[in-house]
Amino acid sequence: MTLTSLLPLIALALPIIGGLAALGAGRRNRRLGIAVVAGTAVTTFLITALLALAAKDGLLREMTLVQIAPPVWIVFRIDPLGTLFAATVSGLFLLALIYAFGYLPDDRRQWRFHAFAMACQGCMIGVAFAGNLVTLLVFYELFSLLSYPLITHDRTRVAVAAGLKYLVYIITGGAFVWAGIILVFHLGGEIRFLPGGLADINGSPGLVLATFACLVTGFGVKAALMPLHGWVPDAHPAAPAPFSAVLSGVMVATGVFGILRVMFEIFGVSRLIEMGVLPWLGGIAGASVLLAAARAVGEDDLKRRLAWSTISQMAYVLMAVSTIGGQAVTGAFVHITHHAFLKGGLFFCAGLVATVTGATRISQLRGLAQRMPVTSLALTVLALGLVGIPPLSGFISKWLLGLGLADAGAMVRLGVMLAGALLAAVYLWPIIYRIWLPTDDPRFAHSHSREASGWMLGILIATGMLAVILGTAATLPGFPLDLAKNAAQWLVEPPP
Amino acid sequence: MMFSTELLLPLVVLLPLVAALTLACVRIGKRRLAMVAVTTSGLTLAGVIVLVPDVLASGRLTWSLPALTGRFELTADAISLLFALSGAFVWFCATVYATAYLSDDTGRKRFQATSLFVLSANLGVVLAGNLPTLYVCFELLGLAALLLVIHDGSEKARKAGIKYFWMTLIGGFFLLAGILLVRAMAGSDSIEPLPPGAGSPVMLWTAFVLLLIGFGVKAGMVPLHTWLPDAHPAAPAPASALLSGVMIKTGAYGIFRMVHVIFRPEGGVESALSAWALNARLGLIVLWLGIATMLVGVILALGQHHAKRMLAWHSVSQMGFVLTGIGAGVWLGSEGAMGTAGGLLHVVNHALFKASLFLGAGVVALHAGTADMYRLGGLWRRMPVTFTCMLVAAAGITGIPLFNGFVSKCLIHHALVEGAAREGGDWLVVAEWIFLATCAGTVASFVKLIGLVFVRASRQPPPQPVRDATGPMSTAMILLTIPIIVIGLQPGIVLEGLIVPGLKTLAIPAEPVGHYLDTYYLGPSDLRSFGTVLVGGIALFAVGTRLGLFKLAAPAWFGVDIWYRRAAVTFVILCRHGGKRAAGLRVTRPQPKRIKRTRSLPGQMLTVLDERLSAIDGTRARRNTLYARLDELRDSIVRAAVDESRLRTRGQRKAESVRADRHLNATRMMAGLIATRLLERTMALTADDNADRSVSTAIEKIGTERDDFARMAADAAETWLEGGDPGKLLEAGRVDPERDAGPRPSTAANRDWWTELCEFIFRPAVRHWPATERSDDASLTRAIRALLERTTRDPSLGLGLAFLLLLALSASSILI
Repeated sequence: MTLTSLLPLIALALPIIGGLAALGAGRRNRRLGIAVVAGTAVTTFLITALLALAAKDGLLREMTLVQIAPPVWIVFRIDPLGTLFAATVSGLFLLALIYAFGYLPDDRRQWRFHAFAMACQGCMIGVAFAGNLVTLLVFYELFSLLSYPLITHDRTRVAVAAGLKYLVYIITGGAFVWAGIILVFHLGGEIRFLPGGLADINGSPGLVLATFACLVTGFGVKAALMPLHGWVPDAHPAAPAPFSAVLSGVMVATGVFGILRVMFEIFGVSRLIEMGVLPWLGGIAGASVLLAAARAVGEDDLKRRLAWSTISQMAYVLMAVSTIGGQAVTGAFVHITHHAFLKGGLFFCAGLVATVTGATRISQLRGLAQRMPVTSLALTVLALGLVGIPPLSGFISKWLLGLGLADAGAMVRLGVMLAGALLAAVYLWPIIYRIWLPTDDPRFAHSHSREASGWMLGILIATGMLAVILGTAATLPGFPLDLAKNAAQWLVEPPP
Repeated sequence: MMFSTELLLPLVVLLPLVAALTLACVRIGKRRLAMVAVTTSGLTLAGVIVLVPDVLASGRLTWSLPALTGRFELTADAISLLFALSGAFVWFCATVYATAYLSDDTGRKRFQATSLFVLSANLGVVLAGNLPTLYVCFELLGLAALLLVIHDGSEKARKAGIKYFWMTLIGGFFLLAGILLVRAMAGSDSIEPLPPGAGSPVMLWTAFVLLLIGFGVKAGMVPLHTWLPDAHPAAPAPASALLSGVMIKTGAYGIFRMVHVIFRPEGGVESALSAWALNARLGLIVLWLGIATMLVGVILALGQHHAKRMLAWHSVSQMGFVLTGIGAGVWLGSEGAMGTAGGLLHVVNHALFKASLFLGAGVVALHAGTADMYRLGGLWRRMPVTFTCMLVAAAGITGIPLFNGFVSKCLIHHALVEGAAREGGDWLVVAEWIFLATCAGTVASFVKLIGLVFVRASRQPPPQPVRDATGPMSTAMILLTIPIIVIGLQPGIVLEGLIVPGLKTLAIPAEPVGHYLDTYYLGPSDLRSFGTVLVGGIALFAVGTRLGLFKLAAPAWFGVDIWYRRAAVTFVILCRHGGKRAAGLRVTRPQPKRIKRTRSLPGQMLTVLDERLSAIDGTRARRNTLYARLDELRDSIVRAAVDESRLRTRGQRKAESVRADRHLNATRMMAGLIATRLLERTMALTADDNADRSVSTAIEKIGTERDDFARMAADAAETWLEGGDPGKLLEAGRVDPERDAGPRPSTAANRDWWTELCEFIFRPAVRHWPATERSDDASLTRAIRALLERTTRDPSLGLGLAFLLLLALSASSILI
């Protein structure tokens, strides 16, 4: 076992160990705890980023770890899509964990938050590096369960209710995935991820279709594919802001990641086309885009509106992938990364605003810019990025998605995507407009105290700058666009 | 020379951008701000001028950089430079003017910074070398110009800004769709002719329509022009000049590139005749849209009384001229140089004279206090410089010979006449008549403007002594009038200097332009047409003023604007409604208050729609009705308590109103507490479907005891104000709705387990209901909930320990 093959394991284990260490150290000395958390997060990010750059051109390494039962092994592998996703996860967690130092009140419970969050991060990285379905499911279920304490961190009635609902959904989804895995093993003989799909899946077309449906349903619960999205609008607002950012940014994306793995590396492109499921998937995803965006327009609570927006944006990815065109798939992968940082940043803003002014509803935000100009500027940049205004990062993914859909001749889906982007403007613009209006509200108008905690503001500025940099410098090698292009090429047209 | 001219391209685009960003971040005084702004726009103008000889020599200059999704490319050919040069010159003059116009404005730094940013985006559009660059700069232009429109922050400006924003954004989406289609058909990013057989006719036409809408919104093309007459007057005068003079031209530039480059078969390549025929048909569509635009613009301009709004409508009309010229040029195919040259020359001309007119109108509004033409008069004595400049500009726009407008209008006229002679162009005779009528209307309108504002004796003395424009303002206006006269006398400077080389680069034969200059320019037929127009215009003005025709206005529903607004409002209502209904919330009245007040048919239809939608789901509607009644009841209890308080403090109110106010507030608070508690307890009963009658009984009972509650609230308030504990009083008078409600049938067994389970899973977390509402669970749900809550009260510790155990097991199994 060389160092390279151990790297995924290190990237996985480091956050978990770091979280436990922070739990112990932080309760004694806050500074030590901050140092441990920050150090671990930065190191994990660097490892995953390096792996992403190294794995750009194809499968790097596959490593078998341990055997659970005779046909079932825990396998890790380093491949372009997985490393891109792992880097995104680590990046967003880095921002969220540091933000949490400013957001959470300074007491013993914050270390519990960090410990569970870093355990979640480790498990998500495990999902990214999984080499077969069982490994994926093990880590998937682990981080789903470990998210419950984070969603219910505030211990209010609302949070507990939301967490309960989340648990029911996730456990049901997990059951579907298990059913799918068993069926795949029964039909195909193995459950490893192979680019281009498994060699043969023998069975009646109905059974194969049922397998696909089980897997997509199971992962679709996490991916917030309508009508399996019910947990999202309750869980995302109920969680504390740093974890809401993670939920919306990468956790829903993990469900999408699962569906992508199933589509490209279990079933494979040609088999999917034969089965004829792609138009259905595209249709359901398209309906999700429009319905979720329409629901977002009607929400007054800021975090709930952002949660509905997440459902809509993640459905873009599935809609684009259902065309199986190179450009569209590239756009979908890039969108996962860019959306993670944009949506994460928006949730950071929402948390900051709620902490400093107590305002959680959009109707209460009038005139925010007078009190918190930097936050308002960051909110404007991030919201415009999500709408897709050039040269921010959201524009890059929107352009590529549109180009891919147009290239593939999917005109209806292109129209749906543009309508969804227009709806994104409809539900994000009133926020931007309202915070820049003048007001006499005493909460906002006459205040001379510091805008917000340094941690939170710094992370917010960093996320805003990230939106600008990822947009303008997108074509530089090593940036998400480049990595996504390689990943798409490797998955859609795998080398023989 | 080490310095290659290509580098000027990014410099010219980036210099104003850098200056704008720097200005946004620093504090700066008035004089230095003026210096920075004027210097930057001057340097940009100088840069564009320096580019001219190199571009004319080599035909095309390109510079690119890998960025965004491919390359960020800037290309300059003669036509781009035409737009860039006129734009940069107008920008320079407007910036000079703004330094004086905004000298009292605290937002001047924001204005200048935004203005420079918009300049940079504008140059980016006209110098764009490929489709992504064009789109990026176009979007940034539209968004940044929003800040110019809402600059003075008034309600009118904000409303205009909102309309402008949404139309620009939606136009941007259409543009994106069109560009993506073109990109998919062509396979490459650059702005070049589509390969033959690129896409099906459906795709070609769809792309054309989408691009036309996208560029047409910016160009102010009918029927997408409705943002223009609101946005341009709402902006401050220098910004109006920039918006009207330069920014809307980018829309025309886009349409030009679209029909002349993208949808035009490549010259020299074997292309089917059908491709040329398609191109000609597209040109005809653009032509007719231009005709419609010019007519609508001039008719509505005649009816305006506010000078800036009138000028804005004239911008719409003159953009119609530009589009007609471009369309005629395409319709005539290889002989279309006259039309294209006329359209492009009119772009330059309109930039000059419209900017001059807006700047002059700005001076008038600033110094005479109003821009209403009917209230001004006799200003020629007091404002001679402004009068002269506006007279020259009006001469330009009406097309008086020896001024610049005459040349471009005659070129377009000739193109229309030739187009009518072409096969398939019979209806263009009508187009020519409309053209002449519009020119006459323009004459009438400007006779009205100059006559009413400057020449005629004033009706009432102006409110303050009227000064003329001084310093920077007059310099700017004079600078703008110079080219109007120069181009009028020597049109060859622009025609043969920039337009003909540009046409040659695009492989369009340019002989007709030279032919025109030799034969027709200032020839008898042109002068005859102008004479007709002049006479017609003056006659129209005389008749119109005598008969009061200019005061007529069409009903509001006649224009497209109100339908756009209604469509948008209906859409938002449906979204809000859908969300609330799905979440089981109380459905509120539709948001815009207008709909309540209006008795119009559409308003009533919307209200009916709203009621129908809320009646569909019976259970929730029923609960909502009950909630509404309880809410009213709560309000009435509080009101009764307020009356009681006033009654008790009647004697004190005259002497010690502070004490009376405190009593009132305390009573109101106590009444609120009592009423809310009552509401919560009663609401808890409504969960049962069969509990209607018992709930209604409870509500009536509470209603009859309302005065008792009011008295209770006032007593509790007095106790509290004296420092006592009101709790006992509140508890003593406690009403138990459950006791009062009477017997209610047990409903727990009514719902089956399947319904219960579905409700449990799919019901949203209703945090907005009072906490006591959650007493509706039947046995199965309650059991599950109790079990889960017991075991998951805080499962975190259990989860954490389980995870650690798992870790330990895995670690040991790996290591062993």
